[in-house]
Parts: sequence; structure tokens; C-alpha cells
Amino acid sequence: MSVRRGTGAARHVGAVALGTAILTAGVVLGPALRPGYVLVGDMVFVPRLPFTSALVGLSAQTPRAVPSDAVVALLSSFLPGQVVQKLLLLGILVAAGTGAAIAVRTGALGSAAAAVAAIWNPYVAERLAAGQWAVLVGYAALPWVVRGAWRWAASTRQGGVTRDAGRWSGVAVPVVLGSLGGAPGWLLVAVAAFAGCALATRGRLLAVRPGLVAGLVAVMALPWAVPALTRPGGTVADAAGAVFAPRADTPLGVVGSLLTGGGIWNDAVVPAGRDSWVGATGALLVLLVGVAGLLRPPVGHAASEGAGDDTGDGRGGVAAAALLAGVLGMVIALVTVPSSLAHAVVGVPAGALLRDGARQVGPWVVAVSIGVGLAVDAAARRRGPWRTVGGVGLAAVVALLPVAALPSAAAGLWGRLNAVQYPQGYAELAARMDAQRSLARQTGAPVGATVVLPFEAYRRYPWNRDRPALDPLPRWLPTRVVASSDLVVRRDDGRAVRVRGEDPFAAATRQALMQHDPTTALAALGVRWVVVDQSGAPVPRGLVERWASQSLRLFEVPQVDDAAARDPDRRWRPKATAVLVADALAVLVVVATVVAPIGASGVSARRFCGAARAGRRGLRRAGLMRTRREGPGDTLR
Amino acid sequence: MRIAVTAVVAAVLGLLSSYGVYQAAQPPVKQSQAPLYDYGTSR
Repeated sequence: MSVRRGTGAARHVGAVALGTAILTAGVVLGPALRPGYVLVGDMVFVPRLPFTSALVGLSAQTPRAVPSDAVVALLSSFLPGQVVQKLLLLGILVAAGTGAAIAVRTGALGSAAAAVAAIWNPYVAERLAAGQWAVLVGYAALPWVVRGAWRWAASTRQGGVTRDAGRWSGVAVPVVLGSLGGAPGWLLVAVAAFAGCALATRGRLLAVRPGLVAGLVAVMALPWAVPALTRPGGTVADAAGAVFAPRADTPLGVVGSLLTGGGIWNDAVVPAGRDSWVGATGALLVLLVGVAGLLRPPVGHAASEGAGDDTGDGRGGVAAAALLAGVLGMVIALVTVPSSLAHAVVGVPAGALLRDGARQVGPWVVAVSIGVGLAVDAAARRRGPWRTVGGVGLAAVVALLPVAALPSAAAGLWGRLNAVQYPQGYAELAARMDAQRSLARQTGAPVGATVVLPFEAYRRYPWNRDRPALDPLPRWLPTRVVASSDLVVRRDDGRAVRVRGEDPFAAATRQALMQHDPTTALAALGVRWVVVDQSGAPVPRGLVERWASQSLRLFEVPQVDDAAARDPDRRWRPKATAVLVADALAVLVVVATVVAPIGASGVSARRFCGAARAGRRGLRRAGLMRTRREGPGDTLR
Repeated sequence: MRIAVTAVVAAVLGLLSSYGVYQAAQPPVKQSQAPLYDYGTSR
């Protein structure tokens, strides 16, 4: 009887956590959920991301968007790109909030408070404003990984194979999903998995269960690590990348900014009010409440008793594991603060993983969020220091502390995440290039690469409210688009720092554009098309204009080198065999460890396909999806 | 006592959020010489 009551209470708490997470995510995203695309920073979604070999790292580009772009391409093959973007953003925030809420079982108010704190914080706001949705994929998985790793590593075979498979899924599924964010997401996941296993086994990490988790985490790095390591010349980031070291975004200094969940290098994405003493005070209050909640000894709770943890100290263990993950993340972030260390870190192979060190505070933010939930739970139940003044009313007020400390995170970060529509010319250009590619395939002519001018990675389009965002054409066009991989960072004194990218094809293209006769140099590289997307941008002499719209112009490069145009990446591409074997291994391991247990849980393929069809019908009715795909358009004139 | 503490905490949060809303509502500073191709700004 008590078990049923416990199960019912746990379900109630779970429903409250989910509802709160959906509501909070909806308020934070706000206008980002309206029809259109959110184009900010690194976040660029297009109607349909074409499948190319670059999606698995088989190109001259560094595999920064591997495998996140492959996931987007897969999803956008049966859903419109804007719907994929909204589902991903909403799903990420809801997963983060729900995960923090149920990582440590509390009452309904405590779980709601943890959900709010995990979604409504400077870390999420700054990463969203910077367009780093793939980092947030790893962040969303953090509480699930910590909880799953702890439960898996702490448990024994008691309960039989079925229960053991359930515990394994509890860690394997979030590890896999979090790793889909690519290298930055994977690092967060690895820290959380390590902390969960280390604490559950009291440091005996060479045992079988932590070993299995470590093996899965290692395999999930293969899709991006193998292309990065097997590229000709390897992958060493420009030491100027130290400009991405953590900075103080509050009056509390760098350490205070990191402890309160911020510290991003980019002033332009810091939420309004955070740089003031009032905003910093609010952030400090959230930090104090969260740490107090984490350090308070856990107490029994009806929701967890009978339905929750595997061992008596489950709640305390998971909270301690979250705290350990947070401390580890904070240490990694602090290592990149001194400029000398930041230079040393980014200048070594794979050092770019630690670039933008402030993103490593994700586990700390999750730990503080869990602590806020525990503190609110204690306040509601009048335990510990809350004995005399606590109560449901005060607990509800404290639960809203993260909102009061950072109100500018509301409504799509106060308008920063407004969705916009692409000018019509983009779809027309994509259709024309698609037609050109089809024509080339029929005639056996090489398609060639495409260069977008001005040759810079980021743009401030007037139609995108002058927000800096990645150029969308490399993701939209079906041909190989060479884009600059350099990053230009503006300093306070007006000086610009150019952090050189690692794409050698882009570097060769930049050199070609600086030649006396850039058209001939481009032709030698296999570049057949040049798109100019800024009015007034200089166009190399000798190009033949083929098409123009209000926002774009398309030129053809005459006398292109046929061999180069057939495979423009050939000189810089990593070994296909190694990359494909790594991908196959990762897919096999995912199928064996994740999909098979889920399949056994009774979700039939027929039921899934039926739900997908119903979803598509709904989208068509809502006007978010066309009834048929756009045709290839006219051929080039 | 509990009601008084709750009221004081609520008032503090109200002030915090009011200031944050005021800050957020300020028009962004126009940077006339902002380059078109920057990734971000850093001190």
C-alpha cells in the first residue's frame, strides 16, 4: 500500500516537474517558437539540410558540427527545418529542467524550483544568445547522466536482468543523446558520467560497471574525434583562440561570474542587467540558496520512499555526484582563465575542446539547480534552517528567485531570439543550384565548389535584425560550399582579433581571393560558383553573372579545373575508411546498448510511424509544412 | 513571523526583477562602427 502511495506521489511530482519545465521553456523561448527561423551566432537552421559527406566529417572542415548536423539533416528530411529547430530548442530546455527536477526526488514544489533554476539561468541564456544549441544538448543530458551513472554504478544484480537493463538504459540513453551535440556536449557528458560513477563506487573506477559507462562515452566520441585526428595536418587551433577564455560578466569578477553560471567571453550575449550590482546580487542569492540546498543532509520524502532510489542514500548520493561534476567542470573552466594557460591549452591538439572554458560550468549550474530544488523542498517542509520561517508560501517565493534575478531571460531573451523569414532569393538560389547539380550528374560534368562572398563566416543581415549569425548558405546549398572558418572578435578598443580557422580549403580559398587574378586561382581550386550575399561587396573580375535576386547574386567561374571540381576536398579530407569504421562502430554500439532495450519496452515501429504521420498532418494544417516539396526550379540562364 | 519573512523576501525579489526589467527595456547601444562580420565582442 505504501509502495503504491509512493508511486502515485512520484508520478505527481514528475508531472509537476514536466509541466513546470514546459512552461518555463515556453516563457524563455517565447518569440523563438513563432513561425520562422532563429538565426543567432552559431545557430543556423535552413528548410532542409542536405545529406553530404561533410555531415560525418568527410571534408576539409573541422568536425565541429559532427554529429549534430547529421541529426538535423535526418530530422529535416521529414520535418520542416523551422519545426526541427523549435522542437530541438524546446526539447533541450524541457529535458534540462525535468532532469534537474527528478535527479533528486523532492516534493512537487522542490522539483518545480529545480526545473525553473535549470532552465532560467545565465548559462542557458548566454548559450542560447550565442546560438550554441549543441552545447545545450550536452547540458540537458547532464542531470540524467549523473543520476543514471550513479544508479547504474551503485547497483548490484539484485532485481534481475530486466531491472539491470533498465538501470543501464538510464545512463546509456542520456550519454548517447548528450553526445549528439558533438565535442562540447560530449565533454559535459563525460564529466557527469565520471562524477556519477566515481562517487557511486567510491573511486573504484576500474570495476565492470564504470568500465562499461567509460566504454560507451569513449565510443560516442569517435564520430568527431576520428575525423579530427585523421585529417591531413591534424587539428590544432590558433593560439589566438585564447580570446575565448572566461571573462567577468558581472561585477563579481571572473570566478564570481563562473560560479553564478556565466563568464562567457562574448559581451554581446550577456543578458541585460547581469552586469549590474543588482543583477549580480540576484545571481549570488541563487548561488547561496543552491549551495545551501546541496550541503544540507538529505531527508526522507514520501515521493521517493518506496518508488525511488535503489539504496537508502540515493538522494544524497546523486546530489553529491552532481556537486562533484559541478566542481570538476568549474576546475576545467578555471584552468582556462589565466591568459598564459588559455594560450597553452588552445595551442595543443584537441585543445580547442577546452576553448570557451566558461561552457564547462554547465555541470555546476545543474548542481546549483538541484540544490535550489532541495532548499525549496526544505523550506516547504520547514526543515533545517527553515524551521521557524519556512512554509509553502516562502518556498514558492524562493522558487521564483532565478526568474527575479534574471528577468531579461524572458520572451526569447527579451527579443534576441525572435524568429525571422529568409528572403525569397535563398530558396530560389538553392533550387537553382539543386537543378544545376542534377544537370551535372546527367551530363557527367563536375559540380564544383561554391564560395560565398564576402569571405567571412558571420554576417549581420538587415533582414535578421543585424544580429551576428553564421552564413546559412553552406548549410542550405546542395553543393560543397567553402566558407571562411576564421572568427573575428571585436575588442573594446575597436581592435579586431582574427582567430584563424582550421579548414585548409578555406585558407587556400582566402589566399586565392587575395591573388592578382582571383578568378583563375579559384578555378584551379575547383570553385565553380561564387555567391555574393552583401550588396556592394567587391566581385572578382572575370566571373560570369548567372542569376540575381534582391539579396543574392550568383556568378560562374570560367574554365574550372575539372579534376579539382570533381572532388574539391580531396587534398584535405580525412581517411574515409577510418571515419566510416568509427561511425559504424558508434552506430552498432548505440543500437546494441540503447535501441535494443528501448525496443524491448514495447514501442512498436507501427505505432511510431502512425504518430509521425499524425504529426505531419497537424503541421500541414498549421501552415508550417508544405503539401509538396518545392521543385528544382528553372535551369540557369 | 512567517508571513513577514515571506513578504520581505517577495518584496526583495520584486525589486530585483523590476530593476532587471528596466535594464532589459533599455534600447541597445548603437555601435556605428560595428563590423559586419564579427563573431562577438570581448574585453
